[in-house]
Amino acid sequence: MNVDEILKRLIVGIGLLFVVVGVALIAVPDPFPFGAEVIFAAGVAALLAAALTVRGRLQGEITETVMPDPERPADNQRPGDEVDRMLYEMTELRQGVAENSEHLEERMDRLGVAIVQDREDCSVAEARAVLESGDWTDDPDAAAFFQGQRTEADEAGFTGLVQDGDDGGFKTEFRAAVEALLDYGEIEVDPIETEEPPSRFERIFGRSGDDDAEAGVETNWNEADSSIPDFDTNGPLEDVSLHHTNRWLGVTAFGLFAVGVGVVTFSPALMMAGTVGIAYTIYGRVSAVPRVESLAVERELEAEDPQPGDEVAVTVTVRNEGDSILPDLRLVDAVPDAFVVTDGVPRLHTALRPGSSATFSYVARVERGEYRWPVVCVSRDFSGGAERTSLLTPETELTCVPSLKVTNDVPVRAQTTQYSGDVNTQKGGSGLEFHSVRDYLPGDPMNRINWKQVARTGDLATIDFRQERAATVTLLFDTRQRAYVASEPGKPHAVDSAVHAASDVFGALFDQGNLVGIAAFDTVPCWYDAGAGSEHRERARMLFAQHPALSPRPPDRQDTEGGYIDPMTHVLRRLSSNSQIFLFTPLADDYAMEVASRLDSKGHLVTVLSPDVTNDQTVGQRLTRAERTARVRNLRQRGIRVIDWNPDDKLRLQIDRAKARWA
Amino acid sequence: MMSSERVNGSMAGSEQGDEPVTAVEVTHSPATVSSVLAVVAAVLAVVASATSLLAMAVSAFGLVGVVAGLFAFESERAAAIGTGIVFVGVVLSGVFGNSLPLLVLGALATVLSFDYGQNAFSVGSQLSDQTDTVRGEVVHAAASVVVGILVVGVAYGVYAVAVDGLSYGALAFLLFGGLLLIWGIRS
Repeated sequence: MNVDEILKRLIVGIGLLFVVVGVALIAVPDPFPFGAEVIFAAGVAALLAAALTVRGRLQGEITETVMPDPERPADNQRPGDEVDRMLYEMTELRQGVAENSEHLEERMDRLGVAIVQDREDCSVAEARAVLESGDWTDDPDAAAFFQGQRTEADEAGFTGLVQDGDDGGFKTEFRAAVEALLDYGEIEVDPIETEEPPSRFERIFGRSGDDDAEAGVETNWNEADSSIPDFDTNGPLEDVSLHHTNRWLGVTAFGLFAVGVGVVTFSPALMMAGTVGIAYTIYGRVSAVPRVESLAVERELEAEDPQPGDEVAVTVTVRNEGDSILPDLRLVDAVPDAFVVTDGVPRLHTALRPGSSATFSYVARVERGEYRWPVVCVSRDFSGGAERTSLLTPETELTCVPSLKVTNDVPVRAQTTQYSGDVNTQKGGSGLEFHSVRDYLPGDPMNRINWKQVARTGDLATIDFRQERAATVTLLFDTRQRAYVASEPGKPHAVDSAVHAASDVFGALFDQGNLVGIAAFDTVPCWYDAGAGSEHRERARMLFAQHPALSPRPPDRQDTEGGYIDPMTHVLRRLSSNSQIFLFTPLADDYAMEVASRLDSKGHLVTVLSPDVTNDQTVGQRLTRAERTARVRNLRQRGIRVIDWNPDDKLRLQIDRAKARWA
Repeated sequence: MMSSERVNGSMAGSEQGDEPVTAVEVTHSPATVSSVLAVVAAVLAVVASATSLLAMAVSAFGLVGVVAGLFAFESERAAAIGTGIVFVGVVLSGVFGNSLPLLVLGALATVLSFDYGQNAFSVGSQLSDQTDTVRGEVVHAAASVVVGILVVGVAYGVYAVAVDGLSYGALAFLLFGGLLLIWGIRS
């Protein structure tokens, strides 16, 4: 028997004793056994208890289920966030000064060398010499960044940094260096309009201020901001929790206070007024478990076969099929993370009599994949003292598969297979377009003999036409966690942009008669052999929609540097030697660039389609934009085609522009 | 090239690059209906305590706290403390000799204000401002009022029947005994 139990029994015992004394006093009012002091003391005790109750209320927790915010757009990392975070850690929190500055200096060094090399067309050593000389920029801070780092940082460790970290010396130099590099490399950026929003950091490092303040969570990674651990459910009804809300905590204080004051001031009216508080204490404690079992939920989708990016109207109907009233229902449709609610709210607060129903509707922008999602239902009794949280999952499923419609003409390069197709080659043979006339060889088909020449000279000659051959194209996706970056919250991240574009590119290539395959480098291997035929196309459609590697949700694993397997291994093992590559990557790090150049040096013709998701509003974002631009230039110098594509524009226009450049 | 013409002719506009998606803004302010009801109840309590100037001043101060907590600061704690101060005003009016009906009305209104205020925050945080919450809030409010009417009825009954014959000490002991029993018995 624990202390609580003993205390409870003690309280009950004393309570019973009091009631007995009270009844006895009614029965025998005359022999008043104690003086008024005892009652007075009891009144004071009541006031003390009231004070304690108030304290309990102010300190106590009301345990209400925290509902998810499924409307909010996915809060993907933005390129450069990690740089901003490091700078913040160094200057504001004084953490990891050594590691962070080392990392940033290394990145800046690489970037600086790449930009100088690109402009001056020189070797690495020469580029470094230019940087260290400081002649490349007018800004003394920027020059100092590249001059100072070798000597000070190496010799004095990070002490120097800490000392001038007070006024953000490192940060100032870093900023200046980034700006100077952008200027030197002629990289387009807009001026910073707003200062870095501090909310970002508050979000990362916990919020400041009191609990009532609007939490700065801007994510719909559902689990993260709700007290419901998991939205994966199979059954139609799954109970998450059943608990007391404690929302009436402290209401006893009203009773105690009134009764206490009433006793002390000998005012029966006040004592009677105190009964109200006591009555509500009872009301709050009498609780019944709401019968959620009898709640039927139906979800209707307006569109039968939505495309990724379509807006679908969803209507949810709840009906109380039981025979008891459900007095307090709070419903939130746990819209999948990849969706964005664009109109209406997927929530409802209602009460349902037996047999009655209620609906709510909203519009969501859907994303590829197969989805079946629950409605989070918080049901309370009349007083709200008990709360039952459950997940109700309607039957309705939403399958969103890209149509692979042909909207672009995609330029295929000259590397081909033995299969006939649409790509004009430089080789003569059978075909349509005239190529050359050559001497007759025994076995040449009769319809290709140049009869005019035979008539004129008497010698047999054969006409060759340009051979039209099919190309093997592999659409290769960069779907590492690093690729799940978006320029702004609410915008599609790079992988979404890439897959949307790729489903168009796939259709176009397929229609041109090429053999098209799909692969992704990620920790989840994704490989779909190049092929042709309508079944191939259909399976590709499903793969775009369902393959975990191409999922709209970033992988959970961090790809750590240490002990990792090169994600390209499985792709390289299977890639046929004459396959062209369309590489979809945001070029968020050097690895993606290396993949492109490695494939290029293996003899594949590589076209990089890179959605530009960099931004230019913070130092880190500017740095990543500069880095990406440097990567694009580097790839182009090696003769790799790069379509640098702003996801806000149509891919077709960008491809046309690129074709004009290549022609 | 042939394919290029066909493609350009049937250009349908690709998915990417459509106008940027704007997600619905979600805010979690206290629910309106309950907030208004909480203020109305608090005003009622202030009126009930108006028999004494000092008491009314105190409860009016509490009312300001309730309003500020619900509408300005959106702080549940501020609203709850405000309700507490309103109740102090009500009790003060009792000390200065307010009548029983007004006292009971004042106490009831204060407790209802406390309930509605808490509910406003609860609905606001679990759902959102744009949600249709009227029905749920009204049912909750009505249930609390019904309980209140029952309580007042019973209290009056007891008072009318018993208080004349009930000694002051007996009443005190009964109330305390009842309270302790409620506290002790909790499932």
